[in-house]
Amino acid sequence: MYTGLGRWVKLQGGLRQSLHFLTKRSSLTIFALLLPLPALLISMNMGTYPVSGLELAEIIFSRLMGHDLGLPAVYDTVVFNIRLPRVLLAMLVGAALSISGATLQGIFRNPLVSPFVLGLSSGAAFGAALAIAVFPWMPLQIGAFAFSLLAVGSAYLMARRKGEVPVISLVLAGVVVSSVFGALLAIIQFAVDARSLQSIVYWNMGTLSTASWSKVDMAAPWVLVGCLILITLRWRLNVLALGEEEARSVGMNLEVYKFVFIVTATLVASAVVAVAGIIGLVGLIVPHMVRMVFGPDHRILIPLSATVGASFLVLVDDVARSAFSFEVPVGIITTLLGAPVFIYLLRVTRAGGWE
Amino acid sequence: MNAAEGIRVEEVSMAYGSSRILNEISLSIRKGSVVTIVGPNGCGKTTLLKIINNLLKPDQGRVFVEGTDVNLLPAHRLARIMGYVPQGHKISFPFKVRDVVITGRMPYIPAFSSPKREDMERTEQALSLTGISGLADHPYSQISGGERQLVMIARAMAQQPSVLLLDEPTSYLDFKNQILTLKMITEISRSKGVTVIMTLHDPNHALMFSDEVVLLRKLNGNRVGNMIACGLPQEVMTPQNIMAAYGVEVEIVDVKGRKLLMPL
Ligand SMILES: Nc1ncnc2c1ncn2[C@@H]1O[C@H](COP(=O)(O)OP(=O)(O)O)[C@@H](O)[C@H]1O
Ligand SMILES: [Mg+2]
Repeated sequence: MYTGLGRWVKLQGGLRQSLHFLTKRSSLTIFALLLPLPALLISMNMGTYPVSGLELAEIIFSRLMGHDLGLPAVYDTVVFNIRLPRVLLAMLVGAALSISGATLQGIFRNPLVSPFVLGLSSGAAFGAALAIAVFPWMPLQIGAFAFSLLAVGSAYLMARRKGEVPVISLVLAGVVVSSVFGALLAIIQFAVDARSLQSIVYWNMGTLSTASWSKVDMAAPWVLVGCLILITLRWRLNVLALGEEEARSVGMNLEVYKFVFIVTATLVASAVVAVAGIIGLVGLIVPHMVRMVFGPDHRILIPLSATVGASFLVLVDDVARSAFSFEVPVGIITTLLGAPVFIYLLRVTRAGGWE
Repeated sequence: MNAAEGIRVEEVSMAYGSSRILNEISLSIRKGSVVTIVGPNGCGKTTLLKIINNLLKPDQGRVFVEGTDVNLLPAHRLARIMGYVPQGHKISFPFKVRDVVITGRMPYIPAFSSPKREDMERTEQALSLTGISGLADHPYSQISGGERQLVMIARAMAQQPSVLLLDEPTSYLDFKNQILTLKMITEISRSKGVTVIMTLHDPNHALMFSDEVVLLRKLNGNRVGNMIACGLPQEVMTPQNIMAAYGVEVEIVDVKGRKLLMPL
């Protein structure tokens, strides 16, 4: 009882110090932390029925309280059932892929790592194809989620020797697992009819156009809990990023933390890939952009990757749904938009100071 | 067990695959002393240091720190006692020097927590102890090899260790910085009472800066032991022992009352 109380008091102290830590940061950091709010308002306003911040608040308020504000029903439907879930899903996906990428880059001590390095995306693609073409009774999201976990899990087990999982073996195992699931996917694609093939290819591009409240509900718990875990453990990524031997010599239980970080980063990314398909480059580019502006300290990098990632993807999705007369899969735009931004940042910061 | 004993190595043997590197090494190291491990490249100096830090498990034998088997100490407990400075360290991200040094506070920071005020204070102390407070905000990737060495020493000192292990702390330094760094290490040992065990490749540095020297040779297959001698520097660093370790003929010269080795 007393120890529980003591721990709670300590936690409070820790919270206060974290807040203190935040207030010391520059206004740019605060801006990046709060970026999802303006991004949300802008995105809610994009589309055929513009909705101002005030109207949005009214609609949500009336939904919550059950009043009727006398707004046209179409507003209510568009805002609440179509636009809001899409915007929220975009934010969840952006936050999840970015925080997952930032975490794995820290563990692998390699800035070129993305959440998909351990075979997650190939596993998910195979699982989704299986659900589309072979086992139609299986929900697509479940198939993608299960097989992405299976892929990463088998890469992890393949790399494991005598209780240790060297990162170099992990990367190699990831490559092997990706190729195997790629080959299995090819078998399905080869065997199925044209309509299924089209669905498979479309799923692989990554899209948010099928967003719904049920998808938000599916992904949100994983993403929120995962982000919370990664944010509380984030300083330890600094210790890990200095090297494995260096981490062990300061008393870090290396394999335990590596396991926790890899599992959490994988669950978070798998949950969003399952509902939105494979949206490329977000998990690679957003952590890079944040690191180039705010430095590599994971105490800042991890939370900002989540908020900047959420804002980035929701804004890119605004482009995807409104820039052309037809809707472009958002994964294509993240890649086409991300690549030049990435190259530009790489050049102006001289590769961000990496050796 | 002797109360003044800081580290004891008991009949440690180690092989990588089938090639045996260390054979039944036993050492007793006094608290607060500066001990150097000297020997030719590949004789197992780094291996021995890592075994002492429990980074490697020996095939046989045990290591005790202040009376406790290092294998039985939880990792964070060991890290409060022993700091380790690796040879020539590099990192992939441009962390600030201060952020690197503060990772030495790891053994004091509970899970789910980050460094607190005390950890930040200890970090600043460690930075000033090694004379690099002015570098605290520089990126680690943009300082010289010698400065990185100091950063890693500061990081180890932030652990508040009673034993400091250093692997060839002079290997990437110029003539002046070699001397300055070795002086600083011995000064830290004197002022804080820290036991220092370091590997060195220059036998003269060992003669000049250590209380005791451990001289190793390469274990080429059939030799029984690879520790040639261990003890006071002048007694260990004799021409015969140097010949046995390096196969190099040397003469002892006396410079203003100090003995130095001179290759012939
Ligand atoms: N992980 C390893 N696997 C196989 N051989 C190794 C490994 N580490 C070191 N060695 C070999 O063991 C010998 C001793 O290495 P080391 O302890 O680094 O020597 P020193 O530090 O004295 O130069 C060398 O011949 C080296 O090649
Ligand atoms: Mg060595």
